[in-house]
Amino acid sequence: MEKIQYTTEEQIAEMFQELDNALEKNNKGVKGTMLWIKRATNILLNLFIIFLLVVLGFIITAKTNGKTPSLFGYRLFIVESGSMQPTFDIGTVILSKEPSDPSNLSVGDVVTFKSLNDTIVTHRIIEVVTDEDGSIKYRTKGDNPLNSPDSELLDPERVISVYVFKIPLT
Amino acid sequence: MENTSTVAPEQNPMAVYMNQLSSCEIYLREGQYRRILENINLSIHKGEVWGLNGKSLLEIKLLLEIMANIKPYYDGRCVLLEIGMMRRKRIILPHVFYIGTVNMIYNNMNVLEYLMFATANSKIEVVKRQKQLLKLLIDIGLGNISLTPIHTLPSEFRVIVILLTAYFSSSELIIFNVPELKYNNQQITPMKNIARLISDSGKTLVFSSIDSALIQEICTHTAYLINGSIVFSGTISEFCEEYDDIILTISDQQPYLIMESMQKALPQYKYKVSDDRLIISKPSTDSRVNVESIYNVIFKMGLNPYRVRMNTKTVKNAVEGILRKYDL
Repeated sequence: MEKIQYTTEEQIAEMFQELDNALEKNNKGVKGTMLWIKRATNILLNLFIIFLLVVLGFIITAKTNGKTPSLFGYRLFIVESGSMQPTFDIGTVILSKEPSDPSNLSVGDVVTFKSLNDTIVTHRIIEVVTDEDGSIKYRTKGDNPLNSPDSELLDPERVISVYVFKIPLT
Repeated sequence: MENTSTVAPEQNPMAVYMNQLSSCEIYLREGQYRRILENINLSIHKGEVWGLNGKSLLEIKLLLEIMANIKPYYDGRCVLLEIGMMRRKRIILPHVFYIGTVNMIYNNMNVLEYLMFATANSKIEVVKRQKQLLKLLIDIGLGNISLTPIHTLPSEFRVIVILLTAYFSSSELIIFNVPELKYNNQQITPMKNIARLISDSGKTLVFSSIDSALIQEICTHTAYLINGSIVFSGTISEFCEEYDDIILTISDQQPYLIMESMQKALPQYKYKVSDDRLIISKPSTDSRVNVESIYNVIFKMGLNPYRVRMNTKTVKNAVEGILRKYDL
């Protein structure tokens, strides 16, 4: 075995100096940029988690109150029947928005509304009907060619939302 | 042969438990055989530092090999970290860090580089970690070899570096089984500091050694093996109290003259001359000691020795005492 080469105090001081220089360089240089990217990613990730938590809060609150969950007026619905085929297949998820003025909808709008027997229906407005007293009502119909127009006219008060787009691949 | 067991602190869970354990290895003498280890009872709790000492290097080394689960045992029970060990199993489990050789360290690095390599999984940034390790090496007393190439280090320093690596590992039980090495003061200090770090982190350190000074300095507990059995296990202070029977030493140019006078005045004590020192020990049959009476005799007889020193209990004296007791 070779003779032991003890580390001198000068060598240790030199090593500390080298390490301090490296630390300073890291803080200023690429490592600094990496640190900022890391921090920004963390902030974005935290914001996304907060957003998800808010959405979850809205859903739980709406479910508790027996309403359809809504965020900033937007709602998601799942199509459960074939009345709107071929526009929406069964299982399609659609995004719709609460109208600012439900009495100002036009023919061709696809609306989600509460029927008289309390079920939620999504059909297309095929006619805007003005009553003798001047009030607006809508005649609705599913897009399925086998469907006939709905028997009851739709009051604007029962309109929940107007279709915006369907979620792809659903 | 008597077995003494320790009452360990209740709050710490068990790290090693051996009950009535005997080894597969045997001594064969004149057609008769005897198991090298027999009837071993040992309880080691987490956070303790144990030094296993004994008359035979083979016995203490074998005991730690069984403890590390690399050698099978013949009979009894061995439980490590509350997990029972199979008798015939021969693998070192991940919760045990076994140091059985000085060759488990890389020669092509210096000490700091090796520690960086050993802590590569750490999440601390590389330069910061390097600085922390260098500071730690200086704090524990290894600054003088911190940048020394490992291939130039003697075996004692190498195992100390391995022991430090064990501290950084996730293993909860560290078994340090290189009893053939002798350490000087320059090496005992860092070992003591590392042992404290290990103990403070809740890990357990068990090592084999016949170096009484080392055991005295770094251990909280010790066990002593004679003829394949543990004759004592307990704290260092209990060991010293039980087996270090030296009361005081008198240094003088004519120790034999003082011994004669003392023997006449106080025949109940044991006297022994070593170099220019007269060693006065308590009698084995009666443990009562009256130090004042010894001082009175020295004063009244006008002996005026060069120096009288009360014995501070040491492991070295206790080992001599235990060997005398068992007539070895």
